[in-house]
Parts: sequence; structure tokens; C-alpha cells
Amino acid sequence: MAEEVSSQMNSLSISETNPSSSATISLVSGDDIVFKVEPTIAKEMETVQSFIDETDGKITTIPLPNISSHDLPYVIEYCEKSIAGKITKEFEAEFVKKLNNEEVKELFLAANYLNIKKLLDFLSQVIADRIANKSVEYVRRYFGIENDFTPEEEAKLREELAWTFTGVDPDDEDEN
Amino acid sequence: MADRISSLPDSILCHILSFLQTKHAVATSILSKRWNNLWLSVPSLDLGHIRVPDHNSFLRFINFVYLFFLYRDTALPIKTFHLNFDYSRHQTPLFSHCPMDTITNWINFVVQHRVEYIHLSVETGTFPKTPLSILTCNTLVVLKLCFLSLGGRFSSVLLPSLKTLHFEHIWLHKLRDFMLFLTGCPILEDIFTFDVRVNSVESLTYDEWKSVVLSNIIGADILRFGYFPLRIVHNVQSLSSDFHQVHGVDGFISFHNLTQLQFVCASPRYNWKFVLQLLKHCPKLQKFGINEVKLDGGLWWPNKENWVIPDVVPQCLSLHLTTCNLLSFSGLEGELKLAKYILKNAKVLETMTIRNADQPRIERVLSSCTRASETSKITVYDVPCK
Repeated sequence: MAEEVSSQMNSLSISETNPSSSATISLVSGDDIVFKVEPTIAKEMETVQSFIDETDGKITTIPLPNISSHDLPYVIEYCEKSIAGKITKEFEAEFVKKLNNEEVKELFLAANYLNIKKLLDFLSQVIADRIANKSVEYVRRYFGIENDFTPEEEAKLREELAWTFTGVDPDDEDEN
Repeated sequence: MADRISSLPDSILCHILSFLQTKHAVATSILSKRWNNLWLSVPSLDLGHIRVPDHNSFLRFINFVYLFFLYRDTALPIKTFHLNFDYSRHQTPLFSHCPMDTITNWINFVVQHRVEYIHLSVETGTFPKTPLSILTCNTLVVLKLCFLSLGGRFSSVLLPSLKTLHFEHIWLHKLRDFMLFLTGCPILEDIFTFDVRVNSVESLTYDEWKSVVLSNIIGADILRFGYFPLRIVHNVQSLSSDFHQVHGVDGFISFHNLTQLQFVCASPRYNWKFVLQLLKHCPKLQKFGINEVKLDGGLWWPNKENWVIPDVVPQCLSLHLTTCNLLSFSGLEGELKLAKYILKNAKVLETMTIRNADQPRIERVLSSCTRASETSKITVYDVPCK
């Protein structure tokens, strides 16, 4: 489907008078779906751009094995808005509304892998907002962290750090 | 999902923690052994909004901060400091010593630890003195001060890295202190003020004036700072202010870089002469707007319609103005004249947006008047009269 959409967009841009979109970049997701993007989008993704630079621009198909076809469109959407200078509070609020906790984490990993500074900062803030004021148990479940402290060790730590555990919210029912 | 987050490098995890308030970052040390010591490397002390209802909670709070300082590796920088400390002046007798002394000690500490961002608000109703160490912090990039006083004692200001200055509810001893402050900020890019009160309007001498050069300034948002000398921000590209006259030596000067100008008004009565005069001094203006903001105790212009058609059309209208937003249109004669005048003379105007308060037929009146730009579009939103 992504292939179809991007080829439609290509034919649209070709029909315009300025066919300056010389070489589009093909990003291949981990599940082998090709996403065609403008070179300016690739520039936002430092990892992709350095790959292109290393090969003097000869290679324009870039495999991204760590990123799924589910997550990549979100990344591309954010980069497009960023280039257009249209990252507003409203856009970010809408963007994050669409994402569940798993997707936020997946996108964070994708942003880290692709080295997109702005997206990484934005998602760090989102994750921080989602774990602020939550209990230790909630945050462990949120990240999928296995507690490797013995009960005695944990009790000792809690005692030492009692100064930080005031005013924690009750856990939400909805975990996703 | 498997715990892929925990397998990321320390620096990335600390990056996430740096977006948390410090007490939440510290709490992550209990998640697992992997997370145990991460917070110690987070370069930020974000204490958030602290309300202390009694002396004991104040002691617990300062204990927390001192423990934070003690646990950390002192060689690491503290790049961010944020505290919004809130106690009412009626509680002051509860404290055995002034909380501001303690806060000043913390500020001195972070200044020594290469702080880049300080946001300090001390809402006591007493406007305590700004810690002097801030004024010579050579690593500081962003400074936001609220509910503090400034001036009187400082001899020099040295903020060679400061790019953003934000003053909200600030008492200045002398206007001159503020200007001397700015002379110490050679690369300042953005300045925001809201509610700056001045004890003495004593200004600089002409020679001292010359040393105030903010050549990198990009944006200025100046509200409720009646004596602000506009001249010092004459290099700005974007200006938002509630002025209705010019202060400082030599009166008007040209805003030769200005592309965006917004008037913020506390009442729909403008000093038209000033508005037009300012337009004349902004040759590159592309975007012009008037917005009415309800500010308690705001300035009230003289209630008269002092519109006079200028003898020469301002250059920005003929060459650059593309956007005009009149967002507090109440149908005064002067407002209508301004809108008509802009339509008649702005040759490259693209959009005029009007938020109209209960004046019927505005859209029809404006649509039928002469326009210099045939492609310009007028949009009128009707909002109910307040």
C-alpha cells in the first residue's frame, strides 16, 4: 500500500512543471516494504544521510531492518512537518494522541536508530510525561523491565530514597 | 515487548531522564540494577513547582536538594536548573531563615557547575533579590526570572553565552540597571518581558547608550514594561509589544530588519499616530497585526480618534506587506480607516484577517473598497461582543 501511495505522489509531482525531484530515496522497512521519500527527508535522518554520503549518492535504496512498515510512516510524517517548519504544539499533541505506549517506545527506538534529534527529543518528552509521577511497578511494566533486586535490596533502596517517593499517582488501569 | 529500552546506551537513557523532574529521575534508580545509578549522570536539576505549606515540608525539600548535590559526581555539569518556589508572605514567620538565602546558595552551586539554563521563580510577594552569581555566569544560554528584583548592588554583568532572556514580574531598581545588564549580553537573540516595574527611570547618558548594541537580536516580546527603550532592539526581525509611545533618547529610529510586528493592546483605543509612525520606520515589514489582550490594570489610551492619513505611503506597504491580522476589531472609525488604508496601498498583500466583535457589514464594506493587490483575500471571523 505504501508503494502505491508513494508512486501516486510521484506521478503527481512529475505532472507539475518542475521535475526537480531528481533522485528519490527508497527506504526499505524490516518487513520489506519500500517507502519512497524526497532527498530532503533523508537529510533529516542522519543515519540514512551518512549512508548516502559514504557512497557518494550512488546508492539510493537503504534497508532499515530495525524499523517496521508500521512505524516508518510516522517517522516520515514527522520529518516532513519538520522540514516544512510546521512542528507546532498542536501538531505534536495530535501526533502523540494516535500512539499507544508500545508505539511510542518503538518510534523512540526508530528515532534513536535513525538519529533524528528533534524526534528523539520530542519522544523523550512524551515518555517522560507518561512515566512521571508513576509508581516503580508501573514504570517497570511500562518499559518491560525485569526487577533483578532481591526484596531485601529493594527495601533498603526504598528506605534510602524515601525522599523521592512522595506524591506518586495511583496506577492507571489502562496499561497499554 | 522485550525490554529493548534498557539495552540502549546510558547516554540515551539519561537523555530520557533529563526530561523528568529530578525527583522522578531519582525514583528510577529502583527499577533494576541497570537503572540504579543512571540518574547520577543526568545533567539537570529540575525541582518543578514547589509549594511548602509548613516549616517541616520546607526542611524536607531542602534536604532533598542537598542530597542530590551530595550523591552526584561533582565533576559532572548541571546544565539545567528549574525551580518555581511558591510560598505566601503570610507564611514567612514559619521559616527560621529566609528561603531565598538557601536558593541563592543552590544557584551559586549550579553556576559553578557550568549551568546553561536557569528558570527561577520565587513567588513570595516580596520580590527577593536575584542571586548575583547569575549575572556573571559565562555558560548561561537561557535565563528566565520571575518574581524577583534586580539592581542596586551589581557592578557588572558578564553573560557572553546568553541567547534568551525572559523577565516576568520583575522589579528593577533603575531602568539604567536593566540597560547595563543588556550591555553584558553581546549575543542575545530573544528577549521576553512581562510586567517589569521600574523604581527609577534614570536612564543612560548618550555615550553609555552607544555601548548598548544587541546586534544578534532576533525577537522581542515586550509587554507591560512601560519604559522599555525600543531603540535597543532596533535590529529585531520580530517584535510584539504594547507600546503607544517611544521612550529613550532620539525618539524614533528605523527597525531595518523587522519583518513581523504585532501590537498588543489592553484596550481597543490605539494611538494611531504612533502606529503609522512605526509602520513608516519598518521598511521591510511583511506581517502586521493588532491583537487585544486583556491585561489587568493595562494602559488606557486617550479616548480619541486621532487617525491622520500619512503624507507618504510607508515603504513596507508598497513593497513587502503580505499579511495583516486585525484581531480585535471593534469597528472604531480609526480601525476601519486603517484596514481600508492598508487594502488601498499594500501592493503585495495576500491575506487580511479580521476578528470582528459584533460590527455588522464589515466584510461587505471592506470587500467593496479599493485594493492595491487584486489577489488579496479578506477573511472576517465574527466573535460575540464581550
